[in-house]
Amino acid sequence: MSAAHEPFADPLVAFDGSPASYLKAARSLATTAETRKPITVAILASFTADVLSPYLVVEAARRGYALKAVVAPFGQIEQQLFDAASETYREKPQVIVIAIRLEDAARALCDDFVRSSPAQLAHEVDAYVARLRRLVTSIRERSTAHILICNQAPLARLVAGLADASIDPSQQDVVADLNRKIADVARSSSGTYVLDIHRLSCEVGLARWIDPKLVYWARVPLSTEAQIATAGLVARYVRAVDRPPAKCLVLDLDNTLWGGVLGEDGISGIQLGEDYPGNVFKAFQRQVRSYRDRGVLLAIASKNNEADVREAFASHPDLVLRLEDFAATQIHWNDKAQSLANIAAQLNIGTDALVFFDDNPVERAWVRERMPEVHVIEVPKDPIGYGAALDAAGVFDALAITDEDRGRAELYRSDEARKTLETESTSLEAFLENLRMKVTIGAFDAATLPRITQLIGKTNQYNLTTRRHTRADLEQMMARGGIGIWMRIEDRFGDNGLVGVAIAIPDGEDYELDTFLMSCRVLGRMAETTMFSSLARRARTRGARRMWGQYVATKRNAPAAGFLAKHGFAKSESRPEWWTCALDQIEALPTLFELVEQS
Amino acid sequence: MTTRIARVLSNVFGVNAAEITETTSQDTLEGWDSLNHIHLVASLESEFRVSFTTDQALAMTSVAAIRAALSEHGVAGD
Repeated sequence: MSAAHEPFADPLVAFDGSPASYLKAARSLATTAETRKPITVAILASFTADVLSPYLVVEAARRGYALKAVVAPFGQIEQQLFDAASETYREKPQVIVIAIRLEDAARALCDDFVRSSPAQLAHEVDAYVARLRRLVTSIRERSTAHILICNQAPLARLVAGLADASIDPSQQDVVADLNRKIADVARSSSGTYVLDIHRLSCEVGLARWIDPKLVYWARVPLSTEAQIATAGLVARYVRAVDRPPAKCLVLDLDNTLWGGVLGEDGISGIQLGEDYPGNVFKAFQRQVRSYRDRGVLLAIASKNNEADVREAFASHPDLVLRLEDFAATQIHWNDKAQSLANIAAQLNIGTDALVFFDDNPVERAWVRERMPEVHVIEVPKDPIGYGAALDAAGVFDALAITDEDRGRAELYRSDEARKTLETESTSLEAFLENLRMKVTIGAFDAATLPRITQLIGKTNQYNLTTRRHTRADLEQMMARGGIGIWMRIEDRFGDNGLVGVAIAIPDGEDYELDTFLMSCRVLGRMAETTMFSSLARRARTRGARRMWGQYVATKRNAPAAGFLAKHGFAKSESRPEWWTCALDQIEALPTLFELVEQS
Repeated sequence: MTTRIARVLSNVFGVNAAEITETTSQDTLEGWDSLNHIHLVASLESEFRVSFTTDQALAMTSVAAIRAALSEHGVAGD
């Protein structure tokens, strides 16, 4: 036996990034007891993709997954995907990757570009896209797996050479047009995303993307470096489809958002401005603000005098970030682990949704030790590398950005105002009346499904069953007679957006409460009762007499524990673990707010 | 063998480096299939910082042949 089989040694410990160490680590990952989360990924390619397997296994393990790769023989894409009994479907993959290289499918766009007529070129592009559509449709009929479609790397060789960039259409335009149409295919199917090979090949470098001898001898159109990079990208997508992105970026101030130490150097002494080194920190602040724009909450955990910091934010002309951009601030001399816990509590999110960025390695080590669930970014010594380190961590990777994401930071700001009102009001009823809430409830539709799927994927606390359905799952449930409703809440401070989801599925003559969840932002407003009443009435309209429900306990969903008892459910004697309630008992609605019911 | 070649083969094929000899070849080593041959070539290129021609890559079917291909690049495999 080789040393690779030692018990308990994590195969990734001696990993050095060389191809040989990938192979060794992949082999020992296959033979050691695995504590990582299992996930099956099917790959269907127009070329030999088997070579990717060991790299995929290791890249997935580095992100916490025990990946099983099911690679179809090259060129067997239709044979696998059109056959419900094929090996691909038998393995029940959670992720299916489709990679059809231009050279294997649309030669007119490659070396035949100049000899092909515009009509031929258009025909080839359309044929490629139509083929993809058929494949995606076929998968959707048979599987709820997430689908990743590879787009095209820039061509290694341009037929017109130097002239390509000047002709119309250029060969590169045609490929770019194809990539846009590939993205259209992904957008028009649920749970389907583009695997951005175009971008990845640019990052690796076109000159290094292909190793010609592998193309001719082994039918592998990727150099070893490109194989490893592709595996890393697939693993990143796997993480993003499986796990909700982190929610909050917690930042230090001194030597992180600006250079120098505010308490020692003073407001005029810190490095922040248009010239080096201040421009490095200013650029980093812009990047941080762009994370806020796409829905990441920002927070400060800094050891400083709070008054100094407030003065700096009020008076320094080069601060890109404003104090109002931060949803929570912890500025004092106490323990930073405690600061992080306070931030999570204030924002009503778990500490595992926090990302910590601090230039001080001692603080990072302390937080790592005290709160292993927090994602601590390894910050480089040179501030020029801060932005790249933050991006490369991929902890905020999301596959789509919703309108709610764009407006989230604003929401949390009005949340602060709401909390102030809470301390001013003397009774809960008075507080709720003061909020002047408007609750709107409606049935699932194409416009709301993206946000519904997102909420189902990330709501941890007020979640009765924590079932993570994909959009395709939801569509199937509705097709089989399920009732799915969403709830929006507006109040005097603003629109909270779509914050509640409930699903009941038919069970004989009764209905089962499959999913019931609410964003923590709106807890404590009796909105859950309103949403349940609406669901119950809809079930009764369809002739149901009883609703069945279950509380599935997780580490995080204690807030939902009392839901069933509070809403008229009693423990079932015939079905252990289940609760049931008669639908004719549903009480009149609380009248604390205006209710708008859409069909 | 304790050579760098033996270490690469050990990592690629999952065998003990001590079991690898000068005569170890595609015929004697289980697991030295066409797929692992691609991985072997990638690992050797990375370990010795060379880039083989296609014919060299295809001819490297034994430890002796690997040593010969490396020497064409002026590299010793020890």
